[in-house]
Amino acid sequence: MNAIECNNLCRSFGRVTAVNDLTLAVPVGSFFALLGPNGAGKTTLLKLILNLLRPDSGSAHVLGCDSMRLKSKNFRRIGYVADGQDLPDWMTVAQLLDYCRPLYPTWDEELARRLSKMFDLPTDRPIKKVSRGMRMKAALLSNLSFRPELMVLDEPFSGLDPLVRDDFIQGLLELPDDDCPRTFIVSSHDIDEVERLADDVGFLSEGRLLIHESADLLRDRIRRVEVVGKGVAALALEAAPKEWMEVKRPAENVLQFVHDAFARDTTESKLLAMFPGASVTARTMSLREIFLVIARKQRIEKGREAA
Amino acid sequence: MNLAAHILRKDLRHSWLLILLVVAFVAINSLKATLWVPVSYSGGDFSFFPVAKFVAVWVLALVVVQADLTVGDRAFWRTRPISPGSLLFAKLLLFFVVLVFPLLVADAYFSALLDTSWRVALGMALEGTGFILFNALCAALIASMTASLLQSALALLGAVLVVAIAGSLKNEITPDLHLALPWDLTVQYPGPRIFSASFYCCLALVALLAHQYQTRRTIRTALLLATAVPLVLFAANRWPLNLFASTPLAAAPVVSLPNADEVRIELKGEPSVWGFTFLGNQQAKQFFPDRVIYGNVPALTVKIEASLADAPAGCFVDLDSVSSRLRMDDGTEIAFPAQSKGYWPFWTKANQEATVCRYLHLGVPLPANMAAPRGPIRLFTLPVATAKDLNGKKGTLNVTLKLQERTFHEETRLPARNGARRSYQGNMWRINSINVGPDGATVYMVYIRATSMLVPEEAYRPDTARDFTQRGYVLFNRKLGEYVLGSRSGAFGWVSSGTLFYNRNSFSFNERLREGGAIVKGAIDKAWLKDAELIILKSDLIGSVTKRITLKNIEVPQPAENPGPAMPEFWN
Repeated sequence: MNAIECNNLCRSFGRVTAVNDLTLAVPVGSFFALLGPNGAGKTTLLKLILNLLRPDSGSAHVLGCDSMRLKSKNFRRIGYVADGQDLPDWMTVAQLLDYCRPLYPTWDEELARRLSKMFDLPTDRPIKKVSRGMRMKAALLSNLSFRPELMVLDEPFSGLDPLVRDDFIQGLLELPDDDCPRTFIVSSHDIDEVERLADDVGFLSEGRLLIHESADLLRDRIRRVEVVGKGVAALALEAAPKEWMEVKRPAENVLQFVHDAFARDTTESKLLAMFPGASVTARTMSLREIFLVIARKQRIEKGREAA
Repeated sequence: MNLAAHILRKDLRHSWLLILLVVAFVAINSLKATLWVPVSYSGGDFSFFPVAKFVAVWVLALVVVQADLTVGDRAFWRTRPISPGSLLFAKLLLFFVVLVFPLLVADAYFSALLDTSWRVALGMALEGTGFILFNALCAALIASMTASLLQSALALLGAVLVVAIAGSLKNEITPDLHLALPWDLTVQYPGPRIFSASFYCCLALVALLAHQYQTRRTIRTALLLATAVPLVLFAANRWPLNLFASTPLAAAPVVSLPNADEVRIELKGEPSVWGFTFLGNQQAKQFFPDRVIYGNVPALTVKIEASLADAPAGCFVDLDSVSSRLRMDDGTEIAFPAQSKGYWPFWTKANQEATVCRYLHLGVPLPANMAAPRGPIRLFTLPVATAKDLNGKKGTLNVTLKLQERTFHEETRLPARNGARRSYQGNMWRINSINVGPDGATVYMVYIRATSMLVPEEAYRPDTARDFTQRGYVLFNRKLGEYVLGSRSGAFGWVSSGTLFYNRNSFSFNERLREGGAIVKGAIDKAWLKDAELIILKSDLIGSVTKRITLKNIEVPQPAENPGPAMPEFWN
């Protein structure tokens, strides 16, 4: 079963298409990292999912409910923390929790107390007078305390120092591991932070979902390859196969590239067949590196189209 | 309901200071009639609180609604288990708790204090709370369609401009853009029309708010608002809500003065310039039909000395209005519309006093030198430039005077002591204090009256009767057989604060008179007042008469060559 399903979702703002015919499924119990450059449409997508924005076409379902028909009872199961979300700033953290508590039948006071202590939040100060990090932690606390089945986080780490980020992630991990499977969807620039949590990864660019697969499979599939051998010099870089990205020759007998479809069993033998006698080294890449490569490729292709 | 109450508690906590301010303004505005502190009518205390209440209600509604925004995609409540219906209900509940409930309490207090009937009490409650609720709902709708106070202020400004332009287009485009109400109030009894339109407006506002909360489609709500305006006006005209009056007020009875022939007016001298004034551009338009007039036009008023001869015994005649028509020999004709005027002040006062004494079976204290008092009658007012154009020309002036005959009845009487109070049928008189000095006594009084536009009877309308033409005040010491006629000493004014009309006056009582009109030596003192009571008499209209005067071969009097500093050109 999927916690989130989007079918041919489209949303434009004037001439700008923020989400373009996007289809996505996030299984229940997964941690989905939504990655992409600025303006890729990540925030718009999350807002469409939560019915904060209306789609121009297409549909989205959240926990089995059409996003356009999300009712207050559905939001008892959904948490949302966003960088730009309004909070009742005049309240203290304690007042915010008091306000939220009666709204959720699943409110876990013990968890709220534990998180509050872990986050070291000043409960008696108005939210408008605490730091940005504290504000985000207060928002997270008010969401985690009802143990949501689906947690949507939109740029939660933006502008936070490493200590606060760590607290934040620790907070997410604090959710009790009971019978209810929990789903997380996080959009972020801070790929390093989500890498250790993400089960699935989606790369969004210009409103389109370029990649959506398991993080492990992605790391297996996209690898940085180095081929060393005499035959390498004969290859014209322009003639490189299309699944090779960022092809370069740092030395005469050395060829480096990122392989978009690396297969442990076959790729190495194919390369050896192309370059007899050469040595092939394939290194796994971090999500951050993969993201950068894909982003650069997109930029180049966009430049070509424009030209 | 629980969720709405929860949100209400949150809003009360959020806006407690503003709420306190609003409740204070509402309370002061309602209760200031009973605050027995002498105040000046020229001061700002009477205009400040109604305006402050109005502004505070708007600000409160804007702040409360925008605490949970219904525009944009960042509002906290949007991703919480809070339904739009509960949220709207919580906001409306707050309006009821903070605005309506205190007013209902105040109205109940005044209904008991003024001894009003249940109809008037209900009328006051509906009118008072309806007005404030209407304002709050208007503000709430604007707030629900905007994201900040600044945006709300701009939207409000835009809405006012639209209404002003629509109003001007409806009549005619004049240089001074004026605000026209979108329904016709020029009827004798506009209360049901106002109430009907307001009631349907409130329904429409709640429906529009519900639409905005449910859909958050601001443009669609704005379009619905534009559609709702004609619908509301149609509904108000088609299905008027005459809660208390099944038929409009009957027209005032036309009665003729029984002894009209006995009322004679004697004129003395020629018409002369009484003074300078200004005519508004609308009034001045008839004199300059080809010009576009900006601002006011300098004008002069022409008078003639007149006196009332052989006034009928026991008859108190008051001048109601004067209109005139000037026809020059060269064919030029100017019609001056009727203007309400109560000149002849000496004559009316003396006559009134005589009538008061007759009513109380007391001697008439009419001084000999006031037996045939004379006073000016304003004949007409015309622009200085027009008067100069008519210089040297002769013509005929037809003047129409409308006169009213009045008789007195006792309105109430109360002991002449501090704090004395009398309530009856929605009215209350109270003596705040009596100051006794060497020349007599000054009595400070408050008069409060319950009014409601929903109750058509004359008794429940604001009482703007001009004292000393329509009321008489007598301190009467029955034990000594003496009386003193009151004369106004303090500023006279009246204020209509929502459903309460009230005024504060002070009256001087100086000359002690014995029955028969003889003057008694000595001033009023506390011992005299101890056995005295204050009798308040009010006049009733019993008839009217029209007198026409024709002045032949007259010239329009000219202003002096150098009447003072030159007036600026107000028109071109």
